[in-house]
Amino acid sequence: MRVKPWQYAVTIVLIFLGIFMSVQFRTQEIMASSLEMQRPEDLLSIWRSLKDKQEQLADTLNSLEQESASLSQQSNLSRDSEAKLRRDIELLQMLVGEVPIHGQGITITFTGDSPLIYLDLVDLVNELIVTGVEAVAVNDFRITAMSAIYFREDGTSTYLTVDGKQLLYPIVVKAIGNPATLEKGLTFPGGLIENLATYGITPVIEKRDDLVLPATEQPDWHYAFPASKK
Amino acid sequence: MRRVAGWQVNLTIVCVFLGFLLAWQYQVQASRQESSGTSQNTDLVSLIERMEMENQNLEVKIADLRQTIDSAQSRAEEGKSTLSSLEQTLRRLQVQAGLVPVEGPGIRILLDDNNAGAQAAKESGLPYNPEKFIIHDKDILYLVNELKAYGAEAIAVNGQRITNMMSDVRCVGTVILVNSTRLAPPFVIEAIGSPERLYEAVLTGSEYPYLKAREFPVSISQEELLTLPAHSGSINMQIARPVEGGVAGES
Repeated sequence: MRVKPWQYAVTIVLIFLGIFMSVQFRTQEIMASSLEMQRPEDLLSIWRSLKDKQEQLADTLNSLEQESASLSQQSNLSRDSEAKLRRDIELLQMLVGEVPIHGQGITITFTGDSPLIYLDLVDLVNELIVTGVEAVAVNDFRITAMSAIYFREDGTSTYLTVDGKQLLYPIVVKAIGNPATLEKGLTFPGGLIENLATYGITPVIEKRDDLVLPATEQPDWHYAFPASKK
Repeated sequence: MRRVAGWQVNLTIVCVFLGFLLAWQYQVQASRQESSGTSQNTDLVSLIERMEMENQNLEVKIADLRQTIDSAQSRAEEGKSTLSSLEQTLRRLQVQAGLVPVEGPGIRILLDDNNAGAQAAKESGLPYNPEKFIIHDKDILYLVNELKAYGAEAIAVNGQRITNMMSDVRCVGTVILVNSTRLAPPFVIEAIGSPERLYEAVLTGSEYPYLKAREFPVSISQEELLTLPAHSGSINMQIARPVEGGVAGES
């Protein structure tokens, strides 16, 4: 069947019509919902409901901001607490000998020819404590609260011990603290050094800028426990 | 008249329809311009559009803030558990340092001045040296050291807890000070540890038998439960500092 010319024309017109109609429909849709097309009363009520929503959102935002501020404040507080805890922990670790420490101080050295007995070392450590020493080590054995300076007999010889460990000569006592103060605490007239000298014991005292004292193993308790709160 | 062809009729109908559409479109356009021509509408419209934008901004802020709060809360949780493990560490160290009261079995030693002996010596008319009849700081110091050598885990003298580097025993004149606190006789030394071991150590040691032989009033007993107070002094650590980074890789 041959297409007649008039059929071409109609087809073209109809296509044009179709496009036109769909565009029209779209435009109508847009225009119908466009704000400009609303009645003023309708626009007002749209605006009011938006305003209500805005107030709600502002309230939510406000309470979230308060929550965030309080979280931030708490985090500052806990950061401060943490810092203080760490400082306190560090102090006690140094005190109990859990960590190696260093600082200025003095050394007291006894050579093998001194008739040293363990009580002399006990006296020495005690004198250092009286003078405000911060930490003591004897032959690099750190002295702690329950450290015992004692002796052991091994056949014919006797040797000195710290916490059961043998002390070999020269015996070097390291003490951290103010060097001048510590030295004076030992060498004042009638003090320990004078006393030892009467027994023929003459240790050498040296002031030092930086002494390193090692840490020590912490004791296990088998009998003592923190007291239960009554 | 020539007959009108079918297609011409159709075309006419279509064109008329088209015409209506065009007319309608024109009318709508016209009325649109009419109603938007009022300034009231323009203001309201722009207010509405502005409000919509503000609301959108608020929603974005709210979403961001919620996220910030979320991550802050999970950091806070982590922080809490760090704090509590630090607190545990601190507590352990306080116990080790003698800053917490402790209890346990052990022994109790009583030492007193030999007042009876002093009295007798005074009355005897012979030269009287009061020093020989009182307990000296060294007696206490050496006895405490002996207890440490035989496994004492905690020691207190007249309620003064012996701790590291803070507990000296000395005398000023005839007054004995422990932890820089004046103590008066009788002296009670309590030590927590194996009661049998400590008991035997003291009885066979150098200090106690010596005092007993010189007729000082001394006694020792094994105890099932002793309670020793915490050390209450301050800690003196101004000069000492921890050694930085003992681990390889840190300077």
